[in-house]
Amino acid sequence: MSLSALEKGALGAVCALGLLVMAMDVPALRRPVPPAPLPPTPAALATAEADARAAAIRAEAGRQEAERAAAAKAEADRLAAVQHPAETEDVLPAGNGREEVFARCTACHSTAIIRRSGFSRARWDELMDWMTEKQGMAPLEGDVRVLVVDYLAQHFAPRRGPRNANPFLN
Amino acid sequence: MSRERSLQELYAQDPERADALAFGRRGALKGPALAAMGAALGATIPFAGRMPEGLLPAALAQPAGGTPTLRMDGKAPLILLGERPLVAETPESMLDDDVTPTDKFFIRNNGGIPERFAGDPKTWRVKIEGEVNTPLDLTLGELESRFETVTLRLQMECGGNGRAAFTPETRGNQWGNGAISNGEWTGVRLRDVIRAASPKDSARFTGHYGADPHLSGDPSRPSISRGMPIAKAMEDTTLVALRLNGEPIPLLHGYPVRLITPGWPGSLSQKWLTRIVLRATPHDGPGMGGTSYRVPVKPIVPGSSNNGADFVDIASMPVRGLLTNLAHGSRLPAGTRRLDLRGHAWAGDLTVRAVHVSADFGASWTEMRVNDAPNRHAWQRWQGSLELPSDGYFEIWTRATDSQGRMQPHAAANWNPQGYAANAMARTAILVG
Repeated sequence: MSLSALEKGALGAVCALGLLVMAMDVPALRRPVPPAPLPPTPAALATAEADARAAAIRAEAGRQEAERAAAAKAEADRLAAVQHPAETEDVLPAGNGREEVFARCTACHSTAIIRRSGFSRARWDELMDWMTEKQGMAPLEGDVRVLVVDYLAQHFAPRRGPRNANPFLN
Repeated sequence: MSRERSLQELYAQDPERADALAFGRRGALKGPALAAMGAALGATIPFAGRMPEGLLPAALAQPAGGTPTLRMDGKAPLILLGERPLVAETPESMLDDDVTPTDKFFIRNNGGIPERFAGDPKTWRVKIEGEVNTPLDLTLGELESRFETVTLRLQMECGGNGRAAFTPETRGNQWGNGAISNGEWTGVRLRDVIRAASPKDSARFTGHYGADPHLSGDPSRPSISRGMPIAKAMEDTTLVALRLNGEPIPLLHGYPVRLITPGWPGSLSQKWLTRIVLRATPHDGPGMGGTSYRVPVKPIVPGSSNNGADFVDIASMPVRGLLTNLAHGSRLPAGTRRLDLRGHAWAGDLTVRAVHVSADFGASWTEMRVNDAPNRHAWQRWQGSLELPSDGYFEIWTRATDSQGRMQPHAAANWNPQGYAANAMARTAILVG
C-alpha cells in the first residue's frame, strides 16, 4: 500500500498538531497537584522528637543491658574455668583410698588445700567433723571415713619445722 | 636442687636428727653440716653462727614442688593458694606501691564468686535491719546521695596472714605475709548509715551478709557471715565501699559494694554486701564462734586439740612489716655492700612506732625511717639502708614495733588450730655474688 503525497502531508500535519498540543501547557490538561500539607504543629513536632529520644534511650539501655549481661556471663565463665581446674585423681599421691579422697574432697574444694596441709591422724579425723559441722559436708562415717583419714594421715602428715615432736603431745 | 630437696626430706623424715645434723647443740652450724647447708644453698652463710636453733634458712623454707601462679585477666601473677575457693596471695615484692594497685590485691573467698550483677549498679540494694527503729532498704544510688562520700587509704588484711609460719601446720590457706592490701577506697561511712537507721540501745553487734554462694551449691547457706562489736562499726574509717582506686570494685573483690573494716580480719570486710543486721548478741553466722577467727587467751600446746570455747574473737590485727623492694630469692652482684631498703608496716588499730632490719639473724638491728600514715588505718612507708660485711647468703629480717612497744616475734606465737594472727617477722633471702 502506498500513500499519495496529499495523504502524507495530512498525516504529517496531524502529527505536528499532536506534538504541538503535547508541548503546550494547557491548564485543563494538567494532572491535579494536591496542596502541600501543612507542617506539623510545634506540639506534634515536640512529641515526635520526645518519642524518638525515648526510643533511642530504650534501645541504648537495652544494648547496654545486653552488653552487661554478656560481659557478666563471659566473666562468670572465665572465673568458673579458674575455679574448676582440670584436676584428675593422680594429682594426689598413689595409695589406698586415693579415689575416695579425690571424689569426696573435690565435691566442695580443689585439692590445693589438701596438698598444702599436713596433720596428724587425730587432727585429720577432727577435720572431718569440723567440715560437717561448719561447712555442711555430708557426715563421713564407718569404713569410708577410716579409709579417707588413713590416706590423708599417711600422705599429708605434719612436715613443717624441726620441732614437731612436742613434749606435751603423745 | 637435689641437695636442697634431700635436706628438706631429712627434716620431714626425722626432724630431730636433721636438726642435730644441721645445727650444733647451741644452734650454730658447724663443720660438715655448715658446708652441707652452704652447698644446698649454693653459697656460704656468713652469719651461720647466729642462726637460731631449729630455724631453717628462709631459702629452704619454700613449699616443695614449686609455687603455682594465678593466670587471670585483670590480675597480676599472684601466688595461687587454691582454685575452689579461689585464693591467691600477693608476693611481698609486689606490695611496693603506696596504694596497692587493684590487680595486685590478694584474693580470698570462702564460697563461690557470684555472677556479676548485670543491672545498673546504682539499683543494688543493701538492707540495715535488726535492733533498729527505722530499718533501711537503700539502693547504692540512695546511699551515695544521702551520705557523705569519703576516700581513704585503708589496710585490709586476712586474719590468717602469716599462717605459714606456724609450727606445726594449722588448718587453712598457708599464707606467707602477702594477704595484705592498702587500697584507696571510696564509700560512705557505715556509722552514718547505722545512725540513719536509728539503732536501739540494744544494738551491740553487727552481722554481715553477702551474695556469694556456698561452695556446696546450697543457696540457703551463706558461705561466710561475720560480725563485729558496734564500736568498730561506728569508727570513721569503717566504710560501705563503692569504689577501689577510683574505679568500680572488681567482681572478684566484691562488686558492686562491700564493707571495708580496716585493721581487723579481712573477713569483716564482707564482699557483695546485701544486708547488715544489728544485734543484741554476738553474731552466730558461719565464721563466728569455735576456733574461727578466734585465738587462745591462755596459750595452748601447738598441735593440740581445742574447741575454741575459751578463745576470743580477733579484734585488731597484730603489727607486721614487709620488705618490698627486694624480692625473696634476689641475686645481687658480687661486691654489693650497701642495700637501700624500703617497705610498709602496719599495726591494726594501732600505729607503727619503729621498723628495724637485720642481716645477721637478729644479732644486730638497724632502725629504719618510718613515715606517718596519710590517714588512720593506712599502712606506713619505711625506708633506710643496711650494710653487708661480705658476699654470700643473707636473710634480711624485717621487724616492726607497734605504738604500744610490741614487736613482731621471731616465730609465730599463740598457736591456734586454724592459724590466725601469726606475725612472725618477715625473712627475705638474698644471695650476693
